Amino acid sequence: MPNPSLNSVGKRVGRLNGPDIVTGRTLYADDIQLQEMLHGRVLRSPHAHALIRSIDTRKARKLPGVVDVITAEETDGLSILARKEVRYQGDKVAVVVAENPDIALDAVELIEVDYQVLGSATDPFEGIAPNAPVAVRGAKNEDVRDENGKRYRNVAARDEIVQGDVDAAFAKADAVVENIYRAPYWHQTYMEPNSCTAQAQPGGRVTLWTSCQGSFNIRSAVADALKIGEGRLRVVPLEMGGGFGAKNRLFCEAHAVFASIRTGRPVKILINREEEFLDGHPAPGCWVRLKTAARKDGSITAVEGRILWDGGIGGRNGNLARLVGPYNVPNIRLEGFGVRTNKPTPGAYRAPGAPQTAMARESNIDALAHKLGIDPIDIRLKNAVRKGDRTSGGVTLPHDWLANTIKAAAKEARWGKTGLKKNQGMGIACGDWQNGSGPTNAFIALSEDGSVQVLTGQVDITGLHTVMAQIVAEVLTVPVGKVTVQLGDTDKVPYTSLSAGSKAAYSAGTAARKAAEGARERLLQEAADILEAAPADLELKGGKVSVIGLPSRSVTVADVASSAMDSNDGPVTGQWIVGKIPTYPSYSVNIATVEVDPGTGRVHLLDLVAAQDVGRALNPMLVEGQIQGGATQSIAYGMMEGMIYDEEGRVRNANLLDYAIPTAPDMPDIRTVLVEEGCEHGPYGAKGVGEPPIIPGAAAVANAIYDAVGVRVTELPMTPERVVAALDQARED
Amino acid sequence: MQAFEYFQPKTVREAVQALHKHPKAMVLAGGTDLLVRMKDRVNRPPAVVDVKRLPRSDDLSYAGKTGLHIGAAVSMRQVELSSVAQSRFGAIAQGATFVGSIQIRNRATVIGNVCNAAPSADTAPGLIVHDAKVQIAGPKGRRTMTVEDFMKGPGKNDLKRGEFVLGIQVPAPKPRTGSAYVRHTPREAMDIAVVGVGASVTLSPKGICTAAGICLGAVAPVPLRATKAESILVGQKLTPGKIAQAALVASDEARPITDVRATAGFRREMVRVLTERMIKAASRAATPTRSRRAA
Ligand SMILES: Cc1cc2nc3c(=O)[nH]c(=O)nc-3n(C[C@H](O)[C@H](O)[C@H](O)COP(=O)(O)OP(=O)(O)OC[C@H]3O[C@@H](n4cnc5c(N)ncnc54)[C@H](O)[C@@H]3O)c2cc1C
Repeated sequence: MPNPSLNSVGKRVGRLNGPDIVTGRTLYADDIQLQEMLHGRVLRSPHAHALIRSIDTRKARKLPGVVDVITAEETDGLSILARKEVRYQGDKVAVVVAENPDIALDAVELIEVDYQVLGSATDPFEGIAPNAPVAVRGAKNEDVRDENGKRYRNVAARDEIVQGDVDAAFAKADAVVENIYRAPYWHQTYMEPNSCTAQAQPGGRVTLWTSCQGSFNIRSAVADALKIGEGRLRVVPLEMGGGFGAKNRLFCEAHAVFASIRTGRPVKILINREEEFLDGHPAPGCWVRLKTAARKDGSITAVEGRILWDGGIGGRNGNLARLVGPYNVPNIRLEGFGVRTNKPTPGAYRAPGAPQTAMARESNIDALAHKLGIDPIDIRLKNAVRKGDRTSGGVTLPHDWLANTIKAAAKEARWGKTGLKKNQGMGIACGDWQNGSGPTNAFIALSEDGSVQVLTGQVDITGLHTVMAQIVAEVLTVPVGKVTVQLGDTDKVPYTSLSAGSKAAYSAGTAARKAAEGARERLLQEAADILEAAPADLELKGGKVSVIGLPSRSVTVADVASSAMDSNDGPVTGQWIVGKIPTYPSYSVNIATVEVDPGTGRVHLLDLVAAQDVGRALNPMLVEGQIQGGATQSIAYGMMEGMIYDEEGRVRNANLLDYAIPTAPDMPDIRTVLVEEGCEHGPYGAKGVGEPPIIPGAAAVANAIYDAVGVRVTELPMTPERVVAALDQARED
Repeated sequence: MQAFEYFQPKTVREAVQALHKHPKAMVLAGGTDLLVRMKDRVNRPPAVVDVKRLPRSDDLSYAGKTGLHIGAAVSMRQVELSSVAQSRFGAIAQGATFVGSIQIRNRATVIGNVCNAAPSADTAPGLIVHDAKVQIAGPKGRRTMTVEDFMKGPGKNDLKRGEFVLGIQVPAPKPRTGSAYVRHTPREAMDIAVVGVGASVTLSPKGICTAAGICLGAVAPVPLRATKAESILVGQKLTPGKIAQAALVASDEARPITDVRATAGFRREMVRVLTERMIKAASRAATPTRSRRAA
């Protein structure tokens, strides 16, 4: 629904950096090459859990070309390397710094570590058993007890939601569904494994180039890890080959900085795909028991259950309210545990925790609909949060956003009207997400030729800079091609937050708009002098300032910008710093059509409709790309992805051959539907769009499988083997 | 990757000499297995002998008497697109078509697939049900053996020091022979067979099965010929009941393991399902088009 009064915003503008990216000209973190640069490689624990008895680095140090070998002993009390205990396979034990990567790898192999292997916990359900192995020695855990009063192991965090009278609601319910769901660790599998390069400067400062979603975030994290002041660091972010939340956090940046300070030479550390899997920041898995009750008319009356988050060594907990989701449910009793397991602490992956919980929630709702003989669309419309309702995020909704998105998806998918063949089925699922905001910034300066330079600290992860250029072009009425956007490093711009939480375009787009409006005002002021008119009598249109009603008395933006260089007020500029802006939830709805091969259990996705309430699409092409990408990731989690651990707690598929992500032939052409009803605070009515698309896909496939063959698969990924097992089970029952 | 010496022999003699001189040398064809392993430091050969410049190495040709010749540099893509392979050696062409992506198939060779000796090698079941033979060159001259005997176990083949594979010869199939191959993978492309099944059948003019081949991939240390299942089909009309019976026997013959891709039990079940489908596909291919239309 492009707004006809807008020239750049809302248009399908290709990514300004797209041609450089696809022709291989873009500079990525690993392209940084410096004089005298050394290469670091990491020795990692082969065990999920062990004590280090001793480390012998003598052979490694003697290898020609090795410049430094760093173990915990060399780090002076810092905790960037394992000292006594390794807590997961891939935990960092030592860093070798050498003249080239091959020598560094050879030296890594020469380090001898004597381990005493300990028991490990890699499954959250087994991990909380009172007699389970302790995942992390000496870690503080909650005192939570089982029904016999025995203390659970490894529970790092616990929270609960208790509301209404759950027991009474279940007693009065017309239908109750209870299932156990499981989901594995899930890697973001971006194309670019992390690479970073640190260069210690003679004055004591260090410059760090890295692939990250937020330079200041990395700066704080490195400063914390090395116990140095943030001011000592300059972090230069680069174009990213994907992050999806993982690159909010550190990989080997602190190690590269530390090694560069020690050696006095630049140090690059590139991690490979296996290291990404072993020591990245994948999304957590979980174990969920969820019980949902409804009345005959489909109204959901109660939700009860427990979720155990597979929290890695940090025992990270998740957001419990997501098990209720975007529905009005009066009676709730939920309990969530963050369970410590022998895995790296999970990180963010696009709408963290939402796809896992949506799988449980949306499957249960679907099962209730089937039990009650209600259409799965109708049961969702019946319970959807509506205009005037308060969301769990504390927002009073101004519109029926969710209901309208459900209806838009159903219409596009021709729900109930398509002729499905045997073993084919359709399933729907919904998701909700509230984006974040700021702090961020935009600084604008006009050149003599009328071109516009924008500087921001906000990292571009999915076309942000193109969208900022569109906004600035809109306000200044110049072609988008006249605007360039530069990414500032931590020495060039004020503190800027992560490009995460669906907030980049929302917040930096607002900064761009306000900064451009400032520049516009300056432009009119300067033009007023040239045209000898009052600024209020001027209008800016098509790159020209003219006197209203007298189009012949005009001057171009370029002329104004140029003459401003010599004026009393100086060049035409504008700037804006965003702190926080109020935000709203947005909704995504997927309808999947599948065909199941009952012989092999293979699920073929025939069609996927992905509708999303986006406020307003600043660039529909980029928004559709976001939706298609997110939906693909969710579908992949639904059908094939997931990290697999063996009994010793080791990852069995730490490569892209055994860890399957979909290829192009696995995905249909995802049909996107943009629901554009505006949003009060986003730029031009936009909402954050990055995270919602990843939420409902897996659940929509689960529900479509049920529709196709009448079995409910409750464990992700829903592999052919699990589908066959469910079919076998159904035959036995 | 570590440094290595590189040879590109122009004659068979030079190749044999280079291999003999460097006992730890490895043969390079398309490199889609070898280079990946060298980069991962799994293989660290001090010398690499490229066989792609040998005479006739890119020859893919068919003659009524001798059958199909596949040279050491013949790519998967060549076989996939060859009309004679498609029409007479369906299982081999289909096996080649499953491999990797088009880019990979343009580099990967059929012979590299066989020499690499993965139990899941997608061209192996087709070659085996067609009784293909490898031609080996070495310090002691030439020898031939069946692909079935040549593949010895995961990553192991019958080559001795100084030997390499010069070509593969597949006998011309009898009239009314058809074959087919399919694999089960969780995704559509770029995957490794959880189970692969190749089948071939030869029918008499009256539709009696006179010869049958069934070969199972990824369910034993080597591609496994399901001889008991084959014998159930021979001398019979291929009714749905007979086919189902043979498929069940084939799943008994499989010796699968549980690994990261699937459990042994699931593999066995896939052998049954896919064997049934492949016998049917092979017998459809064996039925001349005219009589198929009449039926
Ligand atoms: C992305 C990707 C996807 C793949 N997908 C599949 C798939 O779907 N199915 C499948 O079966 N395989 C697959 N493979 C594996 C590989 O492509 C095949 O095994 C391929 O056929 C190997 O052929 P090559 O010419 O590349 O062999 P190379 O890598 O050159 O050699 C493989 C091995 O055979 C030896 N060798 C090669 N030629 C000779 C010879 N003439 N004499 C003696 N020894 C020789 C080499 O020394 C080496 O040990 C895939 C590989 C990749 C990288």
